[in-house]
Amino acid sequence: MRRRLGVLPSALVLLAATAAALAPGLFSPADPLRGDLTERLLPPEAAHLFGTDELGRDVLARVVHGSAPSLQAAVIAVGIAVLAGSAIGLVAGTARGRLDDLVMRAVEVLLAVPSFLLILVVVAVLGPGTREVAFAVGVSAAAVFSRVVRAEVIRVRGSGYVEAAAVCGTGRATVLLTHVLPNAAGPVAALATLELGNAVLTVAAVSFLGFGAPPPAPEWGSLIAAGRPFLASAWWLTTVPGLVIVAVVLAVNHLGNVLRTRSETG
Amino acid sequence: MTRFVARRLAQAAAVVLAAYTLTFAAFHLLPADPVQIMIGPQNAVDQARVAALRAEYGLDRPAAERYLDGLLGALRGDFGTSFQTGRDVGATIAEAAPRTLALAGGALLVAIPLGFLIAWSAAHTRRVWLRRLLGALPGLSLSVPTFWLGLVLLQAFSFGLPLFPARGEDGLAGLVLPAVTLALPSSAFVAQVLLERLTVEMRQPYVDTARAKGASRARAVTAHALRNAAMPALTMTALLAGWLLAGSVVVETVFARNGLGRLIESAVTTRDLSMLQGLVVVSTAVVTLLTLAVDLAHPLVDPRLRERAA
Repeated sequence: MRRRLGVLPSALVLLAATAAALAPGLFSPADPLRGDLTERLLPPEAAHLFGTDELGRDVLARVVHGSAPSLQAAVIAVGIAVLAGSAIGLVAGTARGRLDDLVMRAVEVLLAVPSFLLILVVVAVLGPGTREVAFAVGVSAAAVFSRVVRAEVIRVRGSGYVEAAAVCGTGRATVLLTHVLPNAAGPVAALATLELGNAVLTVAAVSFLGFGAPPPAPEWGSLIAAGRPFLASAWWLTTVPGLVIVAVVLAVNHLGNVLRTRSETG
Repeated sequence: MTRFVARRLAQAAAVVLAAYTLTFAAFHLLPADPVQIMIGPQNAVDQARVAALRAEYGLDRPAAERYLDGLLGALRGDFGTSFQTGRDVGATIAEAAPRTLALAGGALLVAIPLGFLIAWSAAHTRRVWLRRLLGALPGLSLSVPTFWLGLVLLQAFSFGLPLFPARGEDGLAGLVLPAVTLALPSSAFVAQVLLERLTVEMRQPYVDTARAKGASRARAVTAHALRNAAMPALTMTALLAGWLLAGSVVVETVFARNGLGRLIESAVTTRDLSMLQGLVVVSTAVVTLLTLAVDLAHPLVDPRLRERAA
């Protein structure tokens, strides 16, 4: 019961972030790319709630417009991880034997390479950009999903209703889709939510290093990187996007934990 | 026991070999040509120059030959020359490693005691609000981007209160802020795993027995539950090595320290694939060996495993 306590605020934070990504104009009418050079580095005030940057651009507008690419990349990454990981896990779990061994050894290798390094290697091969970063983060997270799905497949395979379905003459593929997959949905959804929080952090870190979208476009990570030279004089440039990332990740992680507890207690 | 160790060593070697093969495949067999990547799409270079570069780095030889050559070299610690700087990859990595080792070591020195302290206090206290607060700390600190945490610490303790230098190049004072930045999330990993196990262990009958025989709650946690709960935390510490390397990429960037993290960052920026391959193989080897070392150390901590291994 206690865990439900933070669900509403978390949902509200995510709702606001999603709304900001879909309709940024709702939150800030200012142009995120064009600034007034006479209004450079203004501290937070009524006209600019979160102040302005070194080119006089409104920080609130840049953070709001930055939510679309930042969240998009994280969502695409988790989507790739869920799809690829589930496919690998299903194949390995149903095939068993040689193929299972081979696939799971490959997954082990992916897990042995530090994941952030793996992401950067993929980015180095593909080149920088929001889509490339999303793909790289997705690939590195797929291994974890394949393990969870494989474990679920193996657990469900042994249960009575799967045997019953097989005895009734149901095809292998149908058993997989109607009996095994729905059972794996709970743990996968919980893991996906937790991975979404990680993906937001990782995408921000990669973008902070300068491998995300090219400069004028606002992304949460690159906004913080751009504020670095003004750390001592203009605190709001790095503080505001940082707090936004923390709020979103906290909200996602909290919901993920609630989902996980639910899927574990049935 | 020796057979067990030999098998695990062979497995570890296979993983490192696979990491080498994987990066080789990614860098040499994909349609993306290393020389084209090195030159960049925007710079037009005539074909003769491209051919000369290919010959210089031995890229005109068949892939199988390059693969075997590179592998034999890597076994001797020779990872070839960097596509970008022309320097020896192994030597460059060896030169940068001590700074990152100092950073990671400093972070672990803070993280492990802090993680244990948080988990221990949360398991020990009987005040519900305090247990909830301590239990929420790891999740909170794992929701904060590491690079931003570094910037906040810089703002507070370098610009706000001028306690530490902003550029953590050398010396102990410069190491404090970067090490603490890495230590906070690392301690969260340790605390999370340890607390989860401790909570389970504290409900076991042997804890009640110890308490009934007069052991204080502190002793029940420290001498009885902690010993059973420490193993996953130990494994976590080995996994932390990989995470610390990843964290050093952003932390060394924030604090302008030259180490492995900076090396990785600049290799990605300049798309220096030969350097990256060396870095991937070395770091995978380190993480795999550490995991192996912890696995082999398990029987020392847990007597039950000693019998099984024998």
